[in-house]
Amino acid sequence: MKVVRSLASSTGPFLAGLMYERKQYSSLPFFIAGGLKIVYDLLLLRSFSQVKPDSERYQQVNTAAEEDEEVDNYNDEPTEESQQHHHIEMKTLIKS
Amino acid sequence: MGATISNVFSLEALLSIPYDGRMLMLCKGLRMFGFGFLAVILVIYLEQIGFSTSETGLLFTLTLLGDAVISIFLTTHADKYGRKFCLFVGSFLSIFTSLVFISQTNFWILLIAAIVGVISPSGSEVGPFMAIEISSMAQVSEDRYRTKIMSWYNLVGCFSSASGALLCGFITNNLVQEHQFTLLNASKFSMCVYAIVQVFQSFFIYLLRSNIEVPTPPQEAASDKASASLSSAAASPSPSFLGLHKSKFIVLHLSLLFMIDSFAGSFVLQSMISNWFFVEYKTNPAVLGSIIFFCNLVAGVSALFAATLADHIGLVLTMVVTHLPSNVLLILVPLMPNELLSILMICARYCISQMDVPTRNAYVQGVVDPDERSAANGITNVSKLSVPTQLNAAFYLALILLYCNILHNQSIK
Repeated sequence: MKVVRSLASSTGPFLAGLMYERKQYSSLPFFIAGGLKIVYDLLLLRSFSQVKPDSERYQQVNTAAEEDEEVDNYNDEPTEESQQHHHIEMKTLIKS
Repeated sequence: MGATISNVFSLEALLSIPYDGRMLMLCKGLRMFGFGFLAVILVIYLEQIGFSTSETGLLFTLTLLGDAVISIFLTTHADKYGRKFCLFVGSFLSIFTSLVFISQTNFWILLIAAIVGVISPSGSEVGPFMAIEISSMAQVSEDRYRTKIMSWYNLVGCFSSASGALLCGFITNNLVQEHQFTLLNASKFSMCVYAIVQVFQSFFIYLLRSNIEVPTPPQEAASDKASASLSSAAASPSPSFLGLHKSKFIVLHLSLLFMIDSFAGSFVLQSMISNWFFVEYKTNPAVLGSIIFFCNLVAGVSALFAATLADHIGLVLTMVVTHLPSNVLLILVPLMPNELLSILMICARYCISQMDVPTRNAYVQGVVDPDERSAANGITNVSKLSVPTQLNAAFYLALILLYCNILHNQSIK
């Protein structure tokens, strides 16, 4: 039980509970949640806007001309390449 | 006009769903109906057979933990040992658990059944079902309709669990008021209805054909080629781990991001929001609960528009442009000068909060290989279901294992 308690106490709802209990901090959980979720959105956009799912490969025939990178991707196994790109990115992330 | 409506509501996509897809939809509908039904009655039932609140709390926590472990295990093996088979195992476990819950009253027996079985304490989706169903759905449906079908799948779930919850309240009330049932017997009756719904679900799983499985011969050649091109890049043969091979990095990265999202969400669970409104404005929690319940249904419908949007601007951008405003609304809730405006903000937030769910599901299907989909769904989804318990332990464990495996492969190189 102790393990369960200590695990639980390190997570969101417990912290949020502490904040909701104090009047002056009671709006803080909304800001933390909203803020973190916006951080998630920005990170998602930054990391994955170039990683196209297979269903979007076909559509790029029309729109790709605008972006050189996309043309390359389309011509030669698009997801593989973007995933490789992603792998390399992750590798540098892990090393650093 | 007709064409526009059909376009906006993705009716064309709905009609394109083949036989197996319809069976999957039925499974989803029945299951979520059962979960919604159960959510209303389970706490009352456990109270009636003599459990204290803390015992129920412990039972629920360990239930979700057990479910998470079982889900990770079944989803990461589903693409290898058969999706239908793993759905069957999950379905058997949930029937088993509900039968133990109905027939036994000993706390420890129920506790063990809850850990090794599958049961949803909160009405939300648990177990390996959704992950495997989504990968099967992506397998049998046309790629261009995938996001729209995911939206319909999500919508079916929303409405089924809502109608389950409503019907359960109605039946239990009716039995007690009109037919002089004791609350114990009425809740036991509802538990039996839940068990029967589970049996029906397994019947529809039985009707699934082998189309939902990972296609073997042509796909294998493709993935061989893929792993060959990858091994030159990653200098490792990309061995399969947790059911993933070449998409380990992508799934790890996505999971970490989804974890931020679900961790953030754990600060604003619905019960906490209700409590905040009660403390701040003396809003009746039951009234607020009903409003949010209604908004959640609207949210299911709004997700259909997300699919149409995704066709134009892409999945990632759709996820971001629908998710970001909903969180700006969330931040605005405590900043509003009065109760009405705060409630309006929270309603607007809930109404658009589901728009990134089907797009997220469709995206995960699109960036991994077909034979990794179940595992990828399982790993990325577990974070969501463990939020209510405040325990992401199983999820963290899976991520740590995945991370160690990647480091291990790096060191071999």
